[in-house]
Amino acid sequence: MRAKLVALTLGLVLVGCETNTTGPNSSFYGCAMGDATQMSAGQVLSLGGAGGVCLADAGGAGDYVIVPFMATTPASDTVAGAKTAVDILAGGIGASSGGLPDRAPLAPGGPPLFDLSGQPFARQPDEAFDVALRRREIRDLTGKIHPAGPGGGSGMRTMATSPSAVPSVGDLVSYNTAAACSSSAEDIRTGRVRAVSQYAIIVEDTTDPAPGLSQSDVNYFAATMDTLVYPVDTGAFGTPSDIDSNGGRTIIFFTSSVNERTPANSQYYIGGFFWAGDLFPHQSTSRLSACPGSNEAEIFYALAPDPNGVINGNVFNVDFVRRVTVSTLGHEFQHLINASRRLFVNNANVFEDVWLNEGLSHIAEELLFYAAAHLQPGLNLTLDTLRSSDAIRVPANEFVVNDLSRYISFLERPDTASVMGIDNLAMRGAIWSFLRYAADRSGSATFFYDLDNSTTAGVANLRNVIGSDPLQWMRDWAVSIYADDAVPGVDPVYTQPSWNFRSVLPALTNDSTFPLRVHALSAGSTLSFDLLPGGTAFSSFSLDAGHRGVIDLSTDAAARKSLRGSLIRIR
Amino acid sequence: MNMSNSRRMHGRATPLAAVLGLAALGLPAALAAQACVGSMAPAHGAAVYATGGYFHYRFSQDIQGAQYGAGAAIDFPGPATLEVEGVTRQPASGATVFAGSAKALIGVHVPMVASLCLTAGAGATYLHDASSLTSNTTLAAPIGLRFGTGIPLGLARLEPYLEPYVLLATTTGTVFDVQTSGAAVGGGADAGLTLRTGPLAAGIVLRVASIGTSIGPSPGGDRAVLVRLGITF
Repeated sequence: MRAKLVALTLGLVLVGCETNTTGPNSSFYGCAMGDATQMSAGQVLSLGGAGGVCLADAGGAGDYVIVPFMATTPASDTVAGAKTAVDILAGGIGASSGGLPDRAPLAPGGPPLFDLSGQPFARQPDEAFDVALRRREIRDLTGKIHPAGPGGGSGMRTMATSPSAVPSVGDLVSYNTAAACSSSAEDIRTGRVRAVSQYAIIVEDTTDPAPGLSQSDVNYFAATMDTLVYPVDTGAFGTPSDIDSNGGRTIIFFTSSVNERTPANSQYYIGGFFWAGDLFPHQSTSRLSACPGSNEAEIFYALAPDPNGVINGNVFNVDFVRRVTVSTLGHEFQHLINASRRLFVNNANVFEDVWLNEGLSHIAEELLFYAAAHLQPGLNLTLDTLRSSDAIRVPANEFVVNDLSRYISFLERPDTASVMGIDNLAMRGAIWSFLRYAADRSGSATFFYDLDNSTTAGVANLRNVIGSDPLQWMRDWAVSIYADDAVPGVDPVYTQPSWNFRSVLPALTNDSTFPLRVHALSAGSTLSFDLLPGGTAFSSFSLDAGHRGVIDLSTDAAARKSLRGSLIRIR
Repeated sequence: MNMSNSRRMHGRATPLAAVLGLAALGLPAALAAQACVGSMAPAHGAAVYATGGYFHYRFSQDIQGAQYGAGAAIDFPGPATLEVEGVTRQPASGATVFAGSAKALIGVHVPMVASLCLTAGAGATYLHDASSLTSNTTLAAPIGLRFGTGIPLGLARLEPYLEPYVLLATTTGTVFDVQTSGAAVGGGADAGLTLRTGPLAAGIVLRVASIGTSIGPSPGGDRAVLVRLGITF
């Protein structure tokens, strides 16, 4: 009887036990009674997973920024619906006086307003078209790749069925500009060979609007390909295949087919493209299935000058084409190198994920800038440096200002964007910045080469090249977004050695401020974010002298392990 | 992003069914008066005592330290016993925790059970910390059963006991200037040993309890050791 009573009573007690050990209450009560952490200016505290941090001032009032980072991998390049709710609740704090102001985006979804010369920014290339191509490559072409047999990957392959002659100037050649394998969708254009240089074959569509490219223009593109784009891109990423046996030359086809892809009255333009289907054979091989629409060549399609707006009313004078085409070539050449080396050199069975592929192409644009301006990474470039001479300012406007503009798009709303996964301007800016950060941090001269010469894709590729968890590097990079050139004394892993964005980016905005969106955190208020995989956010607050404060970072139970918060004492 | 101007912190209440289960014990009809063991007060007497020891709270960080205070116990004919006790706790932050409790024990005799007491109490904890703008009160009501026995040792009497209980608690106040409120149900158990000899009484209590972390510090603590030394009347 006694034993039964004891057992029953203990059972009731156990049923009644509550074991909730997380949540703001736990952090708040714990901080009110427990130990508090004191941080020095420049110190970064890792908040592993969800939980609270209890702070006390150390030698006076302090300003802080908390940076949650969602360290999850997107399931695909379209991660809509994969957002995770993250809440920040604070007590005992005040509004930050030393952090960035809580500001609204400058121009929602739009580009920066000025270039580095202070001139109104020209309309931007339509990257949705480029993305659609990359997605179609993955969707339509990956299934055509078969694992390489024994002996595969020993070097460049030449297709037996490919023409091997190098054309001569004046020859007429025909290419399918449809960028599709289906023969029924062919869009055959005839072009005249205008120049054959060491690494380029310049072809002009015979149907391009008058007056077309001058010989000076042709020579410029050929020379720029030979002396800038080819050495920069191949030096960073490797040599492309030569499936058409034309001596390693890349065909640059200036065709009105590209112009036709830009709709009338568009604020954007399509500056050219590369399509990996052109690397596939007409007849199936043991490695690749047939792609009848392929040109079986390393070929780019470039924007034709149209000074009178004959096509869709879009005016592209020759100066505009000269200015944007070289950057486009550098961008697309990386795509070509990436795809061709995967198919013919490295025997990969997958294409690179779109987000990483685009990030590498934006790195290619940045590398063109360094080469053209006779600079190199690691110089912490400021606005004064970029404006110091035409020799720097002009290539900056031509090659890197687009990268900067995309980074601004990310900084304006980091809590709704991601460094990986879904493709948009913000993601491109973020992945460009992250790859630059990671390359600088790794110190490896072959960082980008290693990423291009891989048999894996996306996060797995990054993990192999970095040699550790890339999501942790992304978390560190997220801290660097705020800390670099703003917080003295931070650990070098939280810096971006190549760019002083605090100096450069305000010049591109209409209010001349650093465009990072920082939310003000106040006591008793909950800041809620829906973070994408790879998403981050910034919230600032202060702590008065003699006070203690508590910050509670929370998310749902399933995401706790993936939430990596950072707390920066900025001063 | 959503922002609320203020946020009340609510605890997660466990269903009251666990507590109401006590009513389903179905105690035998033939209950007789039975002295409760373990009290510092002797039968039909009283005691006052000083107490001190260790406490522990399990929040986002472990809060522990020393506690000290005083108490009194009166054993009424009936038998019924009333115990009151107050302690102060000094956690690491410098905050002050005052905890007071009162408990009534009604002894009953159950066949085959040497000593069984129904226990019901009420306690309050007041947490105050100026540096964190914290002022918070937690009320708790333990309801349990005390099993024990008395062992004569010459002129002395040794009384070991075990007291499992269900704990109901509510919180209200502000923590870090954030308004808090909440309720929770938990449970715990005291294991105690009381020694009375002549006018002196001594006791030790080991306590394990769980009320969750969504309410403020409970009067008893999550783990505690209390040593009591007193005189009897």
